Amino acid sequence: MGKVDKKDSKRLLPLVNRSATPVIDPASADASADPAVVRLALLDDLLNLGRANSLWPLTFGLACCAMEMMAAGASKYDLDRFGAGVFRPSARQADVMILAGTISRKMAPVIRQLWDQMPGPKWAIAMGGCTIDGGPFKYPNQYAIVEGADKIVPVDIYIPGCPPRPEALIAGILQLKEKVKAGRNFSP
Amino acid sequence: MSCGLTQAIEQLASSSQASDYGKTGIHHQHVATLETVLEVAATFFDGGYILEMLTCQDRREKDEGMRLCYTFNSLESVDRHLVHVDIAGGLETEEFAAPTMSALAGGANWQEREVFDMYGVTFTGHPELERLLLPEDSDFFPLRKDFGRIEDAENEDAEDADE
Repeated sequence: MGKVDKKDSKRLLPLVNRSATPVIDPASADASADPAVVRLALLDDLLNLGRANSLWPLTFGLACCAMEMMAAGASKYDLDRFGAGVFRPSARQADVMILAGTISRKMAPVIRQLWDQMPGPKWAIAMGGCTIDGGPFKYPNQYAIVEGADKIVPVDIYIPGCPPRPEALIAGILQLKEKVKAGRNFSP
Repeated sequence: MSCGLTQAIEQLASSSQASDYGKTGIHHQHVATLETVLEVAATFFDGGYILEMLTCQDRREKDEGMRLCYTFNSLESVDRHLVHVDIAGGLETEEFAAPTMSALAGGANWQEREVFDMYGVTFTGHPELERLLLPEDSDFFPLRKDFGRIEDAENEDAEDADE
């Protein structure tokens, strides 16, 4: 940390003031004088910027909302423009779970397992009415579905619609990027 | 061939009648019993027929128990037969049992599991009578008439509000 070039630290100085709680390294004698020592908080900011612009969603569809998710990823809407177009087939390589569709009770433990397999930091997007509260399948004494994705995983962004259009999903992902940049995360 | 088969079925079933295909989608309707249903099915399978569908009706509110509805059809000529099998019981009856057809036709295996899943009819002799669609730990039969009625839930809500 102390090996940072002086020229570099001056260039990054305007960014340093953004962090709310600068971390001072007590081991360094001239800590207060050297802006390089607040690099820890800055590093988090930089990492969050990187994470926000390189989201890796899990290839994972539950019902009809997944069709819109696929459309959002295809050429016409092109999620790659926002750095979220690389859908990973393995939960170990993903950091965003887009819950697209109805969650049946039989599927619920599988979803939880996938969520647990994803390495942190990770985020969840609830896409469509079913994942918000059960949507059209919610009625008294129903036995088949989970009424809301937030009963299984901590959800960061809710996207209403039945199903939401690809634009809505993109808007949700842009919102999630703001959240990621701000360093907000349920499960580090 | 189908004419002779219909006669053979009529001898086995307690009642048979022709049906208006345009209205009902079936050509012949039969009523079999728990004792004769396997024999009826074997006659159909010998005649080149397949088990097209197995479903069930909950008629306990009329004290008529459960009614199994077997549909047999031929792939060579469309000739659909509906066979009703009643299992006696009333509203208080919880246990229903019928003989399994899975030894005669492999396709009956999952169909019977689905009927067990949804209506709680046990098929004796079935090789793997477990939940097919619902979670393995379910303890209810959702397509029975007395399961999870919307009015019941609304009444419970109203009672909770009164308290």
